[in-house]
Amino acid sequence: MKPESAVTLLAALAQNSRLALFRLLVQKGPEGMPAGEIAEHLGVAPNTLSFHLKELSNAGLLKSRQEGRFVYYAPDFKAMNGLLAYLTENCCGGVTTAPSNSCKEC
Amino acid sequence: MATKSTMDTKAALKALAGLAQESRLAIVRNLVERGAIGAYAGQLAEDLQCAPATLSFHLKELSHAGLIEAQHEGRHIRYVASFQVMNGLIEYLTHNCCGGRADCFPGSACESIPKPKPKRAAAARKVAAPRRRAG
Repeated sequence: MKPESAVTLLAALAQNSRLALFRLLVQKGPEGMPAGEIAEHLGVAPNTLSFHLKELSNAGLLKSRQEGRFVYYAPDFKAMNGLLAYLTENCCGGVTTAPSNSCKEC
Repeated sequence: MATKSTMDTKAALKALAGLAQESRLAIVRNLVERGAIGAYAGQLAEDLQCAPATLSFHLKELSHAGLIEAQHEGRHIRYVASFQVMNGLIEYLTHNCCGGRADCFPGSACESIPKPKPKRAAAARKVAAPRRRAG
């Protein structure tokens, strides 16, 4: 992952409603959730939700698919795992040269 | 859905906002790679090609976000990544992923996410030269 992509993902998540929205969808899993149901869960207005869904989708954190009249939103787990791996990449510079216990700590 | 995350939303937002800047992200990644040894500001400035004043600003921001810890050693300050906060953030983001289903995360990074350990390593030697990052 490139640093600028990681920054885009982190910046998208660094907002209260979007973080709650993303976590809700992470908990829901790959099948996702239609926008109406998300709005109900989070108690946000449809246009506010729509704005945040767009922000997260543009950042590459969400995927959407049309099913009949509904649009389902689900996390892009590949992007999410990529971000987490990027943050912890090469942690402690590899176990062998690290001082005792330091790697168990991270 | 029962378990509670170790980190609260406010702390997670602070950590995310702290990381959502290229220089700060680079500092944290550098420190994560250095492990418990951490680094002095001078070493970080050299690694990241960052002016001391700019670096100092970012270090302060990261300290406030709880992402790094400053350890005073006489006249010097050693900076160490706060693994508890990093792991807390990762746990917060992946909390109850897929409703806790075991088959979630195809090709999961979840398993490779290190668990937080309460014990700190006391082994940080004074001049143990941390390895430089490759990229």
